[in-house]
Amino acid sequence: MNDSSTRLPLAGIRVADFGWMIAGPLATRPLANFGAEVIRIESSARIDEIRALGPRPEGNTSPNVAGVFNDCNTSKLSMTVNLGTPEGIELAKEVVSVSDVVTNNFRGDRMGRWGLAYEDLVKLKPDIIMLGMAMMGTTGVHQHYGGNGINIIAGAGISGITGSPDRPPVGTGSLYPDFSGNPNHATLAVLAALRHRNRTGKGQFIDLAQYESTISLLGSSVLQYTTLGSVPVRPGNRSRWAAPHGVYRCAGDDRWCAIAVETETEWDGLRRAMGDPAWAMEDRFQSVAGRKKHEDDLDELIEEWTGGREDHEVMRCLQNQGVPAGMVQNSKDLVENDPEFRKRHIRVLDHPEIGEMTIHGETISISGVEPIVELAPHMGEHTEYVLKDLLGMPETDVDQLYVDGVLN
Amino acid sequence: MTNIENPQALEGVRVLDISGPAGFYCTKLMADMGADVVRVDPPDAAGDRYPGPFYGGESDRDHSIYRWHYHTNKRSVLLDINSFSGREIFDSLLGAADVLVETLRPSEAIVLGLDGSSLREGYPSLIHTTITGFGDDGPYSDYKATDIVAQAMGGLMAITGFPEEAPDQLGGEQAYHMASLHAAVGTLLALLSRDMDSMGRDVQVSMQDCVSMATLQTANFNYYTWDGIIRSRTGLNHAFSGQKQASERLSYSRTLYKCKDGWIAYAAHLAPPNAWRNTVAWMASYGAEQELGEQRFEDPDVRVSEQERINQVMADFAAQRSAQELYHSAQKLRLLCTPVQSVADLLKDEQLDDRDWFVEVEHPDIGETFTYPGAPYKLSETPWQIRTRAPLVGEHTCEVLGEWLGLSSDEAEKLVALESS
Repeated sequence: MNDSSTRLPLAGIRVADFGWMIAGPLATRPLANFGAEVIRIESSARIDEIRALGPRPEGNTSPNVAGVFNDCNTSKLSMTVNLGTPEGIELAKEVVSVSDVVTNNFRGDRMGRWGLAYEDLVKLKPDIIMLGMAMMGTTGVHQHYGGNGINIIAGAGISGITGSPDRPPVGTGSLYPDFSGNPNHATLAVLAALRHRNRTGKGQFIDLAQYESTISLLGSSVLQYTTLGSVPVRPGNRSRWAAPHGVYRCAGDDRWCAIAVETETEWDGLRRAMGDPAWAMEDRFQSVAGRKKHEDDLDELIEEWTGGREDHEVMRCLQNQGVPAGMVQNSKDLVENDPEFRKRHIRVLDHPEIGEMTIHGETISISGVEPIVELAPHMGEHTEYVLKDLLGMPETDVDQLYVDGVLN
Repeated sequence: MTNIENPQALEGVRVLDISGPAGFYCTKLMADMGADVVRVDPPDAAGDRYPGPFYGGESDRDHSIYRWHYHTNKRSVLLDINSFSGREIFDSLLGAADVLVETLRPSEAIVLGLDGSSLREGYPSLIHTTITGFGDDGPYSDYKATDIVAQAMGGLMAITGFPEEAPDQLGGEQAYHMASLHAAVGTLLALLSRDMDSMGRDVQVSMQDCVSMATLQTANFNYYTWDGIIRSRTGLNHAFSGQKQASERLSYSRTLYKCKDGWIAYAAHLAPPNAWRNTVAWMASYGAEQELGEQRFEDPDVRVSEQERINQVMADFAAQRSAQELYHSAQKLRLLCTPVQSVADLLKDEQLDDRDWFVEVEHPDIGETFTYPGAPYKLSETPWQIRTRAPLVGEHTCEVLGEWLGLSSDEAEKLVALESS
């Protein structure tokens, strides 16, 4: 380890995180892992629902053991305060006044109703950076509309380009926008705003409408429509410009291998891998145009070859010939059968209530920087630290807040 | 290039971009926030192809709509980095750059001398960002990864689609987008560190890891490690509907319903305690609450045991109405309902219009202006913006050699002539 590892990129940055569920917490996860002090401000009047959901050990109702909650909130602190009381709101404001960044992913009007809108907070801390992640943003005719990942993926158009044209638009098996596009765009915007603040001393408000941030992931579909007037259809697993391209059934129960042949060199590789069968020499398959035209036949013939082989054998055999190919791995494969992925990406943390908690490690690697990936905070674990150490509140005042029902 | 009135967050950051499709969105994100991103485009003969569709019946790079989308605000230098003179120019550009973004496989990077340790030695303050398929170590590290291959290996395809059928890829090359986003975040972190200590760093993300993040809920690792549950595909209903605990089954009941003219995605049960009451009120606003308005359904346990019946009633209700109508009437009651929309629907969307979301971009070379997708985020002080359309291949070779290397236009033109001879 060289000496650049002594300081994490965000050491000294404090984040007041009002995020709940998934997209908000995942936006601040990398900030925490790379050194920011991220304080979850949790309202005891309405517990973050993700703490109550699964997976969790059978019959265990603790707010601290949910797998998804733990995955989204590594390395953070938690303070619990009753935001249903004026005193609770005041405490939240005091935390903001000693923070660099404030984040939330409520609907457009929620923070304002608490008196915690950007206009309110900038009075407490003139250079504050505030991130709002309301689904529809904080302006516009539909700013109060709500939804989660399944709504956003449908509304923003990802469902419309996923799956087969002859099947319903299922979208994805995950609430995709919650995990990547929205939190990652949010993290990026906060870092950009921090850079700007470091250079100019100015904070700002970031209005990230999750609807818009997800539309940004449609690739060239929008432009294809506005320039050529064509609405992209659901392509199944095919590519507009390459063939073969898809997943092919392999030996075993629900085993598949993805294959993507994008160049003629890769097509030659595929033929070699299959042992140069006679059909693969047919003229109609010797150009992209021909392969696209006869794609149904092509896919069927390839599946005859893959169908009798194990997925990992298909992958290895193709990759050895320079053909992009990869198994369709499920969560068991990722945890047990892919040692390099496990070493690189999976972390098993000790959890005092239940023993082992298996989570995703930090996805970003930076040379000389060792990100922190620590257990998510128990509910209210750091309330007293925040009040006494950060805000300098005397013990008796803290006790009174408990008596008054502001803390519990 | 500083713009006093409209400063941008990444102004003054010079990015050299030799990435393939997995990195295109990474450098677009930086360019649209104000970084000076220079694409190094190889000569046509190198087989550098862009996917269609193409504009105006041409099929060259300059008319690829894919290129137009991903290379907004970038400049282009035409350079063959595999030629001796081309490599010399490239190395000079590296010396003037703050960031290099590449998507080479680890062994390719070593051959080109563009791996972390070679770059650290030659360019100690350069931030070197790389997107790999499967990391830089282990048996898969030199495997080729495209978007669908990464989606498969990262666990996302296994849970997307219908049971018993082939797994589906997410449309729109989402593995490339996920990897690009993570890589951009990593690059900014490294820039913030460099501001403190002037040191360059290697930033690396693997597409497989980035994809796996999107399985974090449906196929959370602990389902498997605690209970041996392997998530698979569940079609119209979200995967969580198979939850064994009653409370979760209820709150995660979410599905697609077919309407007269399309589909809606409905997740209203997620907002307790009023969601059910509002669902009934919603149906009542159409005079269709008779069955679900029965008092017995106020008991959550009854709703769980009668879930299939409820689904059927909801499906019949939706089938008689239009998706847009249901969208607005449900949202008025704060129910989580959204139509499945196409890009054509988005262009007509009132909210996007109200927020001036789409932007007009001029293409002076063909005398046209086109509507582009707008900002993923609105930063009040440092707004995202598209200043220029994607560069024509080699459009800025002399300009960039002048600005970055301080060459006069004569010198730059001589170098370019040498390079292209």
